[in-house]
Amino acid sequence: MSISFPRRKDLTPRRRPAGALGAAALSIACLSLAVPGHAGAQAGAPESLVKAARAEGGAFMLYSSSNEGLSRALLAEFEKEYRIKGSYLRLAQTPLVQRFATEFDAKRNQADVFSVSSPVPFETNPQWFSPLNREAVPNLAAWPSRWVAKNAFTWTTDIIVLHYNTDQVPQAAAPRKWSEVIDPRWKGKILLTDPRVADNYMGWLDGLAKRFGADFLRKIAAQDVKLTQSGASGVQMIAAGAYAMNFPTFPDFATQLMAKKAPIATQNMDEPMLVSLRVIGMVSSAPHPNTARLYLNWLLSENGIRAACRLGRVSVAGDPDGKLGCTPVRNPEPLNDAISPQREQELLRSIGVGGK
Amino acid sequence: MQPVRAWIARSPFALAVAVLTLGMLALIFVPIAAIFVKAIFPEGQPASDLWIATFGAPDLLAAARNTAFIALATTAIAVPIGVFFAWLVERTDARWGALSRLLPVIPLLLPPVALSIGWLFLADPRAGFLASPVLAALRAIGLDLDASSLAIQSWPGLVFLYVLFNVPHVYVVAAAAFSTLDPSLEEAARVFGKGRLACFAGVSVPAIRHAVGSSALLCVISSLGLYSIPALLGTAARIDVLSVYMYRLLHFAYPPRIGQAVILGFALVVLIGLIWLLQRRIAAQAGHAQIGGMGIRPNRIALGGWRWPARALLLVYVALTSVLPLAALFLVSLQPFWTPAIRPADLSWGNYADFAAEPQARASIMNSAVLAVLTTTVVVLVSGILAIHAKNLGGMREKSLGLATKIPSAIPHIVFAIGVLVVFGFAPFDLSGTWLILFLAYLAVYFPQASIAAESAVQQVGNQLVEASRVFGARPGRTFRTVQLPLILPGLAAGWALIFTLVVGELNAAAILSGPRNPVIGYLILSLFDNGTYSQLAALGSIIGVVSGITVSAALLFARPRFDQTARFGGN
Repeated sequence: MSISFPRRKDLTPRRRPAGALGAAALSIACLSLAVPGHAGAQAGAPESLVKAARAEGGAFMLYSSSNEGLSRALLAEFEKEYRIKGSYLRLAQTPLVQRFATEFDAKRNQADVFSVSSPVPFETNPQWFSPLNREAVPNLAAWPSRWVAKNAFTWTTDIIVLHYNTDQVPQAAAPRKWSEVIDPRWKGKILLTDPRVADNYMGWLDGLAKRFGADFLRKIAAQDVKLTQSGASGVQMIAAGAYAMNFPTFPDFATQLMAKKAPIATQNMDEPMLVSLRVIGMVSSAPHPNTARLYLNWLLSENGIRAACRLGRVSVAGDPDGKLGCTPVRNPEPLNDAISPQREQELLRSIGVGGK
Repeated sequence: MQPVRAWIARSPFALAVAVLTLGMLALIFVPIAAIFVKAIFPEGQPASDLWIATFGAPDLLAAARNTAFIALATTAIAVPIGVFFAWLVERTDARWGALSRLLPVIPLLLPPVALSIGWLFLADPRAGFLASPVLAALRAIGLDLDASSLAIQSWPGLVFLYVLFNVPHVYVVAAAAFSTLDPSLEEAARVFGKGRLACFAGVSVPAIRHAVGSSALLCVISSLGLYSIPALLGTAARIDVLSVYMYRLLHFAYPPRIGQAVILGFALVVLIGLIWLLQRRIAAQAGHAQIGGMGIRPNRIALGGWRWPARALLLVYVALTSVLPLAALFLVSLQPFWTPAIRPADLSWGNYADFAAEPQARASIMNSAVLAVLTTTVVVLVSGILAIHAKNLGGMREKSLGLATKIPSAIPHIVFAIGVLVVFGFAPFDLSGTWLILFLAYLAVYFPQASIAAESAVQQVGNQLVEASRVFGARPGRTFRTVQLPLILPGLAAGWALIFTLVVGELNAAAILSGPRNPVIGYLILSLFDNGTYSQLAALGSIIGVVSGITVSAALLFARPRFDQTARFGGN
């Protein structure tokens, strides 16, 4: 058993409005969701790219805010396939961006590949990243076009879920839709992840308010919900039996506990199925540009997708139906990245969260 | 050049002090200036809307009010308790052997994140190991309390943990002062019929007035900066404090609101500076006892029939505040995950085996231990030298130097670390990804605590011995090495113990300055706190507890006052 740290999804930084660029990206993403998905590329890498990558010294650096265990396991799979070693720096998103920006500005960039659960850094700082196209990364040609931007691509679409204690909540009774969490039987049994700690959770509040109205948030607050400061602590409180259920959260937080037979289960919540996007790009001043391209190409390949979905509980954008073993995602609604501070305050007031 | 050379030849120690002073000031102010300019003048111009946004934020007032209440309540409770325990151990016959000197500092051995989780394991109203038995016991005697009334996630719970965290801070400073205090005043008071408690309140405490003030200042500073306890338990109780508020500005906002955090940091600098000046003023109004030229004898006040109740009080305190949470932490570290249902078949060393098998984890623990020893030793020695130098300067220069050394305490570590990375990370220094950059950052961020402990120790030392040394022709360097350093050593050791534990558990500077090439425990804790299981964190907390326990015990025992030597030296 190795030390493996589930993804710190709820530490996606609280994003400021990204302006027209962000709004346009969101619109394009929403519009394109109407198009049925198709599986990602199956091809291996061109020999010339492999040679060029090996000529760079057989190593590269990944900066990522995602699950440390998954990053490490994927790098090991990549090394097995191409005999090129990858190392990683894993930090929460904001410190990661701060560190990357400081190094980049000082012309001392160490990162080759950059991965965060937000499109915003790629939109607001395009100079940080290299343009991505099918010439640079051949397997991009078969990736769903809705998830490809000029300098990055969406790799995973991660569903916002609910964790529940199986000793306290029978599987058949667990809520499946967001509208079911205001059932009076759950009063006093809900642990709410503090929405202020992550943009994902503010986006979740926004998504529910748009679908059901602000009054729905007040009804959740009236369930006498308690707060927890992160999804990681929330799921452990559920495993200990302190509360019956915790939301909003992400599946990865429960992975280790489930492996240790904790009495918890994950429910993918629907109507709406709100998803957070993990976006990956190649750094423009990457010390190992060809290795970075090769790694991205591998992530987009069938081998890469199968490895990711075998190693973690993820929904890869190139496998929306789960044919390659990923968690299927149907009718996903990407979280809003551009919530104004005024809107945030309204949402927080509605759900009863704030200083006292 | 000739006069300078002559001066250097005459007093190389003075030159070293001057270089140290300038070096420390540069280490503190250059990174702050770098980040200040970047944050406050984003486009090279002052941004007034930044100040408006900072102080007009809707949740700031509540966070400031809650912080003020917690800091005041904590200081009001922790200082009397810490000083009283220090008096019991150092000045009365309630102490028994070297062990009793270590008991009150046991909570210090755990990083606050592990301490708060230990208490969560114990006192969560539904899943805590203690909550269910206590409620059942109360029910058995007819008291049917609601579980939430015993929640650690509440105002009383929060203040309790702040006090628990701060009592050792008070204790180490007060105990160091008591240990070097001439007992003749207390003996005289007892001869003239003063009772034991009256002697404590009327003679012993005023005699270490400066140390009491210093410990109160430490309490306020650490209460303002404490993050993990309010983050874990205050959030659940919906009690926001400034440290969590500032952390959110930096960690959860994108782009991070560094400017707002810097402005709030400077507001705290001003506040802490004012409190420090006030504390100095109060301490100066009435004199405090100092180590004189005569040796001291370890005469202790006999408590008579109160001796064993006093010892019992110490033991109850240690049991309630240290043994129980440590036991909870250790128990959960053996569980696959935290659960109030203890099944012996499920207990294993698996979480420890994970750390042993993971090279990055092993490297983090080893690096942190070595880094903490180096950093702490250097920062304590430098602060001791500077405290003596400041005392010699006197007047406004002493006050200015004292104030300057307190400034890092009000700057969030992550902000300071960004400044350090900007200044030292790249050309011409190129220290990014090295031990040295963490070393420099820790030197600066823990200088306030070191200087408070050192100032307190220095203030206890009178001028007679120093003057005698000078009269006999000793140079300043020799006087420092042979007279002043041995006398302030217990105080410096107390500061060393305190700072060692802080460096080992430091999180936020590590997030910016640590990485695959220079991993430290803070990097591990952050990952586990955010993504791992509490069982893994409990195992790491237990490992840190053992490492810190051995190191701190050795430091405190090594630097205990050498009464025999002093007596011989004083010829009393």
